[in-house]
Amino acid sequence: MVDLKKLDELRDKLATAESFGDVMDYFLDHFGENPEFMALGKRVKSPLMNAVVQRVAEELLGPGARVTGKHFVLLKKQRFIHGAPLLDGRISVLIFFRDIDMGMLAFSIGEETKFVRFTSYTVKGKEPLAFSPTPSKLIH
Amino acid sequence: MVKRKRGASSQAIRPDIEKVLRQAFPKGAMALALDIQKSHLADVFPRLKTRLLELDGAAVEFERDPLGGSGWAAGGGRLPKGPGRGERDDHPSSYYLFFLAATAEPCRVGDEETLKVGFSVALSVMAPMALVVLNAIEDDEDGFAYSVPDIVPEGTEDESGELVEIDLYCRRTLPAEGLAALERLREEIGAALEQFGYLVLPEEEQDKPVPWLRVPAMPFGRPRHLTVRDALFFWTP
Repeated sequence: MVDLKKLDELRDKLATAESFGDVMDYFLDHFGENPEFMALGKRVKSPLMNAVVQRVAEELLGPGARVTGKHFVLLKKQRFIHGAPLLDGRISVLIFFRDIDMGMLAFSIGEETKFVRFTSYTVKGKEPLAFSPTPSKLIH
Repeated sequence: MVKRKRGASSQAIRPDIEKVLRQAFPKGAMALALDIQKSHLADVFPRLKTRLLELDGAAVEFERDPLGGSGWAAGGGRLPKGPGRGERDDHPSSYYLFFLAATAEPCRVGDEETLKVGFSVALSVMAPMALVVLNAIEDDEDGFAYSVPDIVPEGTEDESGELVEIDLYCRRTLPAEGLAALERLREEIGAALEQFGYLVLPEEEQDKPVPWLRVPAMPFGRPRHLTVRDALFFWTP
């Protein structure tokens, strides 16, 4: 049985954690490696998440980095979205909470795991959402 | 628990469908390389698409070609514009897909800005066979996320937040006239496809095994049950 209340803790960790690796570990330990959880939600596409992943890929892998597998899973009630897009063929893990407009993306380059925490915000009333990466961390 | 008897007759493919399959796979093997230009679909596509666009009580909201390029109808309601035409965002598949939203008033469910019910219409490249599946497209919160229709409906959340199948959701939500309008639309889509030589694969035929059909180059051997649906509607790597 998946305890979805743990998403609240994940949200808190995401917003406050100093170690980004801890956030992703928590997600993988309680959700990401749980087949029951992975079966929940609805498969969606998300223009905002596409933009985030593309921007991160280009910043970290260079212009023209190719992002594929931009399919995400939305848990509507929890306002939580996750996915595993490929950045130049490297698998990544993305999580995002809509109610705090904050998310994290993790992926590996060789033996390094890179984490990017990002926040989205509305530029103007009805303008599309943009995003602003907060400082990234590199963990060896 | 009552066990269903699954005799040979219940597993026998309807003769006309069996014939189409034999013609599509004359060597008894799946052809995973698609040759769209030589398909029946290529012959009839422009006229067939026009016919679908003209159907009363329906609007083509989404389409995806077998190479993975997809797009939403121009000005398609309030749903966000999806990947542009020509963008190859998905894997190739063995079918062309349309989503036709039901536009008749009694088919509207709740907040039509975010949910539209209708039918996924899949046209196989392998043989003139089609799937017509009750489905829905959904837009979540100002375009933050949206569902992309395919041949397996994703379901939608009801008021309590539980994911329910689309047909159940429609039965709970739509008035009798709405359900009747949906059924009429399904029949009209089927009739339109038939005009162009397409046969709609009945639900009871979809999961029947095709024991004589081989899958070449499967790394772990042949799947236990290759079904009629598997043979005609699949994604390629």
